[in-house]
Amino acid sequence: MGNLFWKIFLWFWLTLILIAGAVSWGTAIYLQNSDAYQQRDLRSRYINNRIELLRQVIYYGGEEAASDVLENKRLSSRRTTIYVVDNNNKDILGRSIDMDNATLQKHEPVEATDGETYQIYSTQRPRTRNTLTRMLRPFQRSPGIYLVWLAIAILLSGLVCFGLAQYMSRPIRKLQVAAKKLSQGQLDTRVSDSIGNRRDEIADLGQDFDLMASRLQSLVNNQKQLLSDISHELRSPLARMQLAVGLARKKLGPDVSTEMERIEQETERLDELVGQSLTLSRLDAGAVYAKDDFIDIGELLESIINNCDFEATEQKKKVVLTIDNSWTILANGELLHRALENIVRNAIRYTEVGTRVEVNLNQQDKTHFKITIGDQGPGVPENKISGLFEPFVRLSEARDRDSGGYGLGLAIAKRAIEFHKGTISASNKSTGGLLVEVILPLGEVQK
Amino acid sequence: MTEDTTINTKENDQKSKVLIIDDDVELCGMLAEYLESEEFSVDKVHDGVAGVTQAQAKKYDAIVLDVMMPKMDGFSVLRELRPTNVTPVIMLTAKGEDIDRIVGLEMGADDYLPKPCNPRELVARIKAVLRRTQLAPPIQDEIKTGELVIMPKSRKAFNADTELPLTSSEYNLLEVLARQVGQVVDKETLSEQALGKKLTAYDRSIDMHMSKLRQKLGDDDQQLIQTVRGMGYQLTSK
Repeated sequence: MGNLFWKIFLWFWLTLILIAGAVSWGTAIYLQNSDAYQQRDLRSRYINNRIELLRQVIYYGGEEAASDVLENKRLSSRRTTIYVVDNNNKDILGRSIDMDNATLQKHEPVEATDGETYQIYSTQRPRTRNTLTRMLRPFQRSPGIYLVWLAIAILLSGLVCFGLAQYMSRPIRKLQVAAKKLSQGQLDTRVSDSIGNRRDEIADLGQDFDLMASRLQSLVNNQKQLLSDISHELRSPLARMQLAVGLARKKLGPDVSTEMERIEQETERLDELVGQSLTLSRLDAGAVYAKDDFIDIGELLESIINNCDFEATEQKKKVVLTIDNSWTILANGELLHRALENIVRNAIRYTEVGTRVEVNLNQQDKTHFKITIGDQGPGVPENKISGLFEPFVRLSEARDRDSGGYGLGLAIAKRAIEFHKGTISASNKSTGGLLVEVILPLGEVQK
Repeated sequence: MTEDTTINTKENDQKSKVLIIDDDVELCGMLAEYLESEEFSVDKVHDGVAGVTQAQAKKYDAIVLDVMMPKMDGFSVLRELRPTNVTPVIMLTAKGEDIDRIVGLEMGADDYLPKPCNPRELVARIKAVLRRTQLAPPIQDEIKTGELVIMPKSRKAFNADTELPLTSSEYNLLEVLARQVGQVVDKETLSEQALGKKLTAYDRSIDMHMSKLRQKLGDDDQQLIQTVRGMGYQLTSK
């Protein structure tokens, strides 16, 4: 139930309730008004009847009888006041007449049998209730029943909106989950099947998503395949080259030995790079390496750091190892060694001259231990951190042009650590520099 | 492929004879030239089938065998050769590939080298293998010491007439120790010959396998297999 679900649900529901309310209200007012119209019609007929009656009374009974009729409450109306004015221009009941009253109506005068002529006027009192109370009147009649209907309407519309919101938000939620999976590297993620038999824009979106995913998958696979193929193809010429260099060295003698050494060195570098990219390809392809070496993690780190220390010292950098406890785990020694060595070498490369790289080994929880490698270098821009473990990533054109970028080291490290069911993550330290954290399971072997 | 086969037997009988089986013709040529300059006598063939024929036709001191070959790969060649042919074999494996060293050892490979490799490294390995095989006594059908009987051909070990349920690594360790019974075998040798890998400071595999082996031998007090601190292990002759 995501945000979208609630948004659709609540907005539709609210809209439905509002529309239903407005419609029923409007209808009620309309009905009432047409009712009122009829009533007004009735009313004027009623008044006319009254006045006709009064005229008869005046005609036959004169002023006295008229006074009786006017004073009789049962014959009077709350809203209509009838005045009978004699020849002296006075109301027979002595009431004063407001001649400016807008509702004042003059009726046909009557000449009584006694010869006197009477004028008849009537006034209407205005309605006392204001517009709002009039508008709310439909609801006031029987609030109990109305509330029940209201509750039923809200409930029903709620159910309908719930269904609608589900129908609309569920496939989008599925798409979102799929997109996330895809972004995390699960390139075989597809959604069409799980969206169901719909025929609408969302279904189209799902199909397009699948199309995109399969295209992405084939592109990534092609790229990986290309790297793997190139590396494979490079092996044979490289092997011949190494032999040729070896032979040349023998034939040429010591005169050109520096140059030969250089060629040999570069060949070895190429060889190393090819080996690395082949390892990466194999790990990416999910190849299984034997995990049959019992590795003492503390000793492994110590040996890596001893190897790197010479190099570091040359660059006026230091590597410091802190070990709380050590464990022996069943692993592929070569892969694990390469993974950790790559991370340490990377840290040495980027730490500032005169600073130190700190390597720590300690227990994470009952079943895992943690290795942290922190340098005092420039760190990595936050948005580039996730790309750090991709092959040949360059963090910034300017800075990495000299150093050649992060190459394959960290990419291999990540895959090798994951092969050992561990996790690797990188973050910028608050004090500056990059911190790489490796968490690995202890497995069954413990010491 | 016999036209590519160069046989130079007359030249020098003291030279170690090496057979190269690799499908890369140019590489073979250069490798032969390099090895010849290192005082080896070299023959070369370019596919597995010819390799098996050649290896059986002539007595070699060592065979350099490429694993990745069309038609018949290196492991198949090795399977054909063993156990009748005991010539030491150095396998050239494809770099970046993980090979099951233990399986290779069981099949009788003597060393591995990832290809491409530095030719100097290859020469060093060939020399090391030659040294090892020249020093080592010929493979016996049965090694007996005390109540232990080890049969290398069937890779079985018996203790007081009951077969020991050993893993490959444990068997290999026991066999290496038994061949030099009464002598201290250092960890480097044990690692290379029994586990097929170079010993590293952080690798506890030998200790681990050894402790399991002792359990299976009922050697809890470490009388049969003794630890010689700082040196290695020793199987006592009793």
